[in-house]
Amino acid sequence: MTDERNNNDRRRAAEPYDERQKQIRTKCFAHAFFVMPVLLFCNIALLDGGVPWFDPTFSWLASVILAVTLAAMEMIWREAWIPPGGSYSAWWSVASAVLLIIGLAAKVADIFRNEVRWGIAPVENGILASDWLYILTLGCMALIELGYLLRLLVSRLKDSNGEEP
Amino acid sequence: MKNLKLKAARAAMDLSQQALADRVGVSRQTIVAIEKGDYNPTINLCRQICRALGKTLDELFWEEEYDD
Amino acid sequence: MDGSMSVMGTAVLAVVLLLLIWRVLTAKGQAQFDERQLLARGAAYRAGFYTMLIFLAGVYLAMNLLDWQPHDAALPAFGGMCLGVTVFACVAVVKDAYLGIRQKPKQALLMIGLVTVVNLALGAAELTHSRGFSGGMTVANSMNLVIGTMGLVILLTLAARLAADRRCGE
Repeated sequence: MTDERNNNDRRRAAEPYDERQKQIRTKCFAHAFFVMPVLLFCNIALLDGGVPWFDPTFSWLASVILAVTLAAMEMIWREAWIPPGGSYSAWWSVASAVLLIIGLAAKVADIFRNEVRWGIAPVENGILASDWLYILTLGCMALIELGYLLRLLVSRLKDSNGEEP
Repeated sequence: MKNLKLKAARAAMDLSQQALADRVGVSRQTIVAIEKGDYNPTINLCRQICRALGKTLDELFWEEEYDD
Repeated sequence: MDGSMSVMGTAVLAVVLLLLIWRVLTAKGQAQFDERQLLARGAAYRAGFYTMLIFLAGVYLAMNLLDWQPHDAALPAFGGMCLGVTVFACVAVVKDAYLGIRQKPKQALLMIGLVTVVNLALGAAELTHSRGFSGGMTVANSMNLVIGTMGLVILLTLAARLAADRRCGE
């Protein structure tokens, strides 16, 4: 019995994802692979069409961040994502989410304190300020953590109702 | 681990890898990968292969090391 | 931005791109892949995705640290997309997951070869006309050359894989 458990642990360490999870991750990566060029193309089209309301490099990074967020959210929701370190600690996720939201709020408040034009956060020379990149990154990370917590909550509720998670 | 049982069963029916792949509905390279031990098929594919070769799951896919 | 793509051209291209994605993601007109090939394609998608990510991050760093600005702001994004697609295709070819179960290898080679030749020819003509992109490389004037190069890499990889498969086959 102990040997079997040790074998299983060794197998899990080498291959953390099972068959079902691998199939789901395949689809998630495919979605992200297609979303990123679509977003990049939309950015190219908008910039080429003369809509200069964001910096080109910001638009690439925004596309990357959004595509990664989409892939992570889908994997989390379909229970095909193992957090870094392999730990499913809810407390760690709560703490991360809280810190990220506080950082986000501080950044937004900072922007609004500096300059406000028609209630919209600063626009430098007709394009969004680079601070929006931090807001997008922090926002997406907070979204991922909250998505993970929501999934944990749903699993726990289903468990307590006697349903299969 | 190589699946020699599968290879033997296929040879006994005088089927090429392509012919078996066509019967099962997969690519030839997948049959190659299964025989070489590079890919573990799902239970559905195992059943399809067994049906195509007229064998049982135990006869084609049971690992020897589990025998006591 | 030189405004080289008209609004109409952009709209047409957007529709074509969306149709292509719809075809790929839905069952209609999709090449049939078996379970092993689907897993292998997942690995290929992952490789392509990370390639795009790392390329764009690298360009962003180069622009900030080396104070380099591309002539066309859209060129790095276009280059990243093309590189990602090339990596995806090459990984899929190597893992025998590029062609579907019922797809004929010769037909695929012919199609890719045709697209490659046409694009390389157009790209070479553009290169000559612009005297080696002396006025600066943009998406519009380099598109054919980039796509032709992509096609060539994929074609060579596919040809090599098919030749190796024929040598090892029964």
